[in-house]
Amino acid sequence: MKLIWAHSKANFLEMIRIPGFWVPMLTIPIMLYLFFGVPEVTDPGSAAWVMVRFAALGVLGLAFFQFGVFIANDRESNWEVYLRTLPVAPLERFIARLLVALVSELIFLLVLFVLAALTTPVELDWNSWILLTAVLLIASIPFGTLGIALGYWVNARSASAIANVLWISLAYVGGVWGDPAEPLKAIMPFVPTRFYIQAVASLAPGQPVAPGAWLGLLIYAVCGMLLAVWGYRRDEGRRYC
Amino acid sequence: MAMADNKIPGQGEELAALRGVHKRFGNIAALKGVDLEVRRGEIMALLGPNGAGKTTAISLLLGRRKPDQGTAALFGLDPRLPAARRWVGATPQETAFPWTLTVMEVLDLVRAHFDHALSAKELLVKFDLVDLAARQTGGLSGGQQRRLAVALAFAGRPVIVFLDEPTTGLDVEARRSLWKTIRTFSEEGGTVLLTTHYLEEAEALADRVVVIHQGQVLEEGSVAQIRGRVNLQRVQFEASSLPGFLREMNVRRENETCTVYVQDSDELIRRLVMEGVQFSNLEVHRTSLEEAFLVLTGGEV
Repeated sequence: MKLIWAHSKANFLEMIRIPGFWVPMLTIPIMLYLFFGVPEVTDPGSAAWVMVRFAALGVLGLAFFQFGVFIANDRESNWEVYLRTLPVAPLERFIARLLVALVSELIFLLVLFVLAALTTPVELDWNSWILLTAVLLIASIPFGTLGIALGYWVNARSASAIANVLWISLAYVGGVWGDPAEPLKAIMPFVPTRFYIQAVASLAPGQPVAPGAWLGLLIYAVCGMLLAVWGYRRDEGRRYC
Repeated sequence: MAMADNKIPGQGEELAALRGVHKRFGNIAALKGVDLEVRRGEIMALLGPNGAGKTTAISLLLGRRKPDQGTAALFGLDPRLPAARRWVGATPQETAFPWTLTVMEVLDLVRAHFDHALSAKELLVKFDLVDLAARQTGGLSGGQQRRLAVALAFAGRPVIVFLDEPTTGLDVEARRSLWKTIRTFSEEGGTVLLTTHYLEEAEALADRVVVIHQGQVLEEGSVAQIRGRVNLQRVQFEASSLPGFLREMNVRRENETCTVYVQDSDELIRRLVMEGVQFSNLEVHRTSLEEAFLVLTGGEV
C-alpha cells in the first residue's frame, strides 16, 4: 500500500505540473459536449443519455493519454530504467497509475456534470449522481488497462498520434456522436466504448440491466492487462543499456 | 550504514553472480559467456573500456534484463523478483530525474521502497542537498544531479550498492568525496560493485578487479595481482633489422623505431645483446596502468 501511494503521488504531481497535458485533455471533450452533445438534448431522458456518451469520450481520452502516452515516454527515460531497480512489482505501479487516472477522470466528470446541470434539463437526485460517478469510474478500468498496453506497445514518438486515432475512432464507432455510419454499425456492439455506454445507461431507472455489456468490459479489462504484462516483459529485453 | 540484519536473504558469501551469461542486443553480442560474482564485504571493480559490456552486466544483476543464456542471481534469487532487490542500492544514469518533481519528492518516492530507509533529513545532510530540497530536479546542475543520484543509491540502507561509472563527469573534489562515501560504506560492512574505465579508480577503491573486454572476462584478481599481470615495461629502440624471437612478443614498429612491451625488460635487453642486434637509442619505461591496460585489451596505445 505504501508503495502504491508513493507512486500515485509522484505520478499525480508529475502530471499536474505539466498543464500542457491536462488542460487540453479536459477541455477537448468538454468542448465537443457543448458543440455536439448539448444541442441534441430535448428532455431529461436524452440529457442523461447524451451526458453519459460524452463522459465515455472524456474518460477514454484521459485513460489513453494518461497511460498510453505517459508510459511510452517513461519507457524511453533513464528514470524508468532506474525505477526498475527498486523493489517494486509492475502490478503495484499499474495500480498507482490506475488511481491517478481515476482521480483525473473524477475531475473531468465533475466539470462535465456541472455544465450538464447548467445547460441541459438533466434531472438526477444526489444518490443517482453519486452512483453514476462511481459506475462511470469503475467501468473505465478496461480503458485504463488498454491504455497501459498501448503505452508498452508503441514508442514515444508515435504514442500521441496513435492514442488520438484510437480515441476518436473508438468513440465514434461506440456511438458517442450517435450511431456510426452503416458498415461500422456492424462492429459497434463489440467495441469497449459501446459496452461502457450501455453498461452505464442500463443503470437508469426502468432500463433493463445489461450483463452482456459488463461481461464485455470485463473481457476488455483482462485482455488489456494481459497485453500490458506481455508488453512490459517484452520491453525488458529491448533497450541497449 | 549497512546492517547485519538477520532478515537479509542469502547469508552466503556470494551476494550477486552471473553464471555463463550471454546477452545479445540485435546484432551486438554484449556479453559472451560471462562468469562473475560479488562477495560479501568487498569492493569489486568491473574494469573495461566503453562498450565492454559493464553496464549490461550490471543491468542483468539488477533484474532490468534477462540473460539470453545462463543465470543471474542476487541474494540467491532471480534479480527480476522485487524481493531480490530489497537490499540493493543503485544510481540512475545522468539527467534521469522526472524534471517536475522536487529533490525532496524524489527522495521520498525512493525511500518508500525500503523498510529501513535513512530519513530524508539524513540524506539531505549527508549528500549536501539541504539547500536544494525544494528545488525541481529539472533545475539542478550536473554536479547536483550526481549527488542526488548517489544519495538514492544509499537511501534504503543497502547491503550492496551497484555504481555504474560513478565518477564520470565529476570534478576532482566531487570524486574524492564520493570515494570517501564508498570507503566509509565499505568499512561499515557494505558491499560494492562499481564499473569504471579508470584504472586509478579501481586502484583507489577496489579489493578485487575483474577486467572485461568485448563481452568477456579477461582477467580477475586483487588489484596487486592485476597490476602484476599488467605491470609492463615499455622498451624502445631503433634497429634496422629485428631478430626472430621478437615476433612472438608484443611489438609495435614504426620505421626503424621498435616498441616492445614485456614483463622483464632486463631479460629482453640481455637477449638483444646476446643475439648481436645492432640497436641504438635504447629507452626503458615503466608503463602507466592505463597504457598497460590498453596493451592488455589489444587497443591502440
